[in-house]
Amino acid sequence: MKGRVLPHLIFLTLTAAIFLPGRAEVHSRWVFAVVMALIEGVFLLRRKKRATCGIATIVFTFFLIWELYSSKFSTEGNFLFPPPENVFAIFLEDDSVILNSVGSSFGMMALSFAIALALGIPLGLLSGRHNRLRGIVQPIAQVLSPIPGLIYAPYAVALMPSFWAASVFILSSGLFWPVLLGVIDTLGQMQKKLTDSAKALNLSERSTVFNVLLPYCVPSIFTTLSLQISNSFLLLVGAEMLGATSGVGWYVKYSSDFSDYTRVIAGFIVIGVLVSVVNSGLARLRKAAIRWQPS
Amino acid sequence: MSKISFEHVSLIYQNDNKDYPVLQDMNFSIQEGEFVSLIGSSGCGKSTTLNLLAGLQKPTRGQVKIDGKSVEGPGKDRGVVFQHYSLFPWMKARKNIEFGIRQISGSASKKETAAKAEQYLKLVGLEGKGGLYPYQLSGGMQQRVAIARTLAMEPDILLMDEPFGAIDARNRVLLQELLLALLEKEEKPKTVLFVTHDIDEAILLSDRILFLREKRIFSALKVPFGRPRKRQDIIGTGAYIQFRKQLFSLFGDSAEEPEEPEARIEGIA
Repeated sequence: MKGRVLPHLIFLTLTAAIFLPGRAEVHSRWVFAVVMALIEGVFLLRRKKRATCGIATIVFTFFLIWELYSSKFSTEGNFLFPPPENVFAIFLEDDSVILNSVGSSFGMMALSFAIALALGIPLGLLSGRHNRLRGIVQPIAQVLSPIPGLIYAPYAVALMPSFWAASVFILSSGLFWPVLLGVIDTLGQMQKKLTDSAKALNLSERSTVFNVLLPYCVPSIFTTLSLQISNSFLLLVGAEMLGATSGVGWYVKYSSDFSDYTRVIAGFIVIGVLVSVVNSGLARLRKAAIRWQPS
Repeated sequence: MSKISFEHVSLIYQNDNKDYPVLQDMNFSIQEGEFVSLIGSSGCGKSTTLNLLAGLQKPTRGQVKIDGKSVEGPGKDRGVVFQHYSLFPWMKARKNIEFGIRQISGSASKKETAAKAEQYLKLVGLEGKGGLYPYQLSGGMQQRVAIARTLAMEPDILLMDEPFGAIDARNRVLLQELLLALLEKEEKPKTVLFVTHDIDEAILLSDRILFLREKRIFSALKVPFGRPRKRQDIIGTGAYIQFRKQLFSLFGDSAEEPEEPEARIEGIA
């Protein structure tokens, strides 16, 4: 019983702290307070789940310490540790810039994923089907695949017509190789019973590829995607920091150039939320695509 | 002319310049409409024989013929049911059957295909289960769907590779009876090659039993029971016990050569 009340007590303390006068100069308390109230609302809705209580305790404790340290007691720390009220107020202040950045980053990522899948899957299926092609493609892919995209980023920027094109190139090649290798590997391990079954049904080449090999590879393609997504974000943010004029990575870099750490931290939070949204979207897509597998 | 004939068929695997014969100079034939079982110990080449006929493997020497023509690969005239449940796991039961039907009649409308699939689902006693994925079905049910898929493709020749081998005893009996009933319903009797290691299954289902040993057909016996055949009518009769004993003795001690192997061979073309 005690543990269940604890997160709510911390939340109430935090709310009180937000509205008590402190030493730091605070522009607006409301955005921070509203976000905290929203989080509390979500926790209240999910209070039946066991983990919720622990998560809520940790989250509110974190914000309470941040609030007390930077807003209530410290003035010297304000430069590197801006008060949370100010960080959250940025979301309202910079709303159009942030939305633009998110849209730009998300768009670039979606495009790069599409390119990597559109090239990697067909080439993988072809290589899985023809031993000679696989003999050529697989070793090349194994050599090129582990080279981190950021290493050739400066070269790509010099090579490609625009910075945007260079970023798309870096991101899509970062995903292309793992997808290609994943498909080849999956087909190599394909159960004989399925290939025999396809042969015995006298399937055409086309039907074998689209109705047997491709669906067989779908689960492993999703696994590759979810493993590569954090790497993709790393590449995305890294590429944007190199010289983009929009995107979440650019926003953080640009703000830190002016030592505006309030905006830098706001940028961190935006990136965190974006990654979580993309991850959970992918998880949902995966669930819908492979309903035929026992969960 | 025989429907199916194996003429001096050998299959030899090569590994490190060594020959590993799987089948050696195998000869037999099957008449149109005949149900023939292939029995023998594990690893004696039963499944290989069936794969050769299915066109999944090619003989090193000799010829496998259907209607006098050499087998070059899989074909629409043959339907295969494997021991493992060979349904495509990403297709629902109904979709698996429809997919099979579409391979043989590309011109059939969606409605016709669906109706036919439903009809075959009903035939194997799975009415209303068409919307389930293979993983949601028991092994026996999956094998029913696989049989429905194969029959719906209306092949002349049915090849079954230990189709009930992985199914529990009770369901195996049900499926054997289902297969008997389904084949009796066919207007034109199907030619069937049925691989099994279950003697009782072979007696219940077949017209003739081929016993495989030493990489070739070692013995061929006609089953002394007519059709339509019912398990309860034959099992436990004197003729059944006698015949079963005769079959069982063939397994005997493989190391020991029978005195006159030729004397036992009957019915081989």
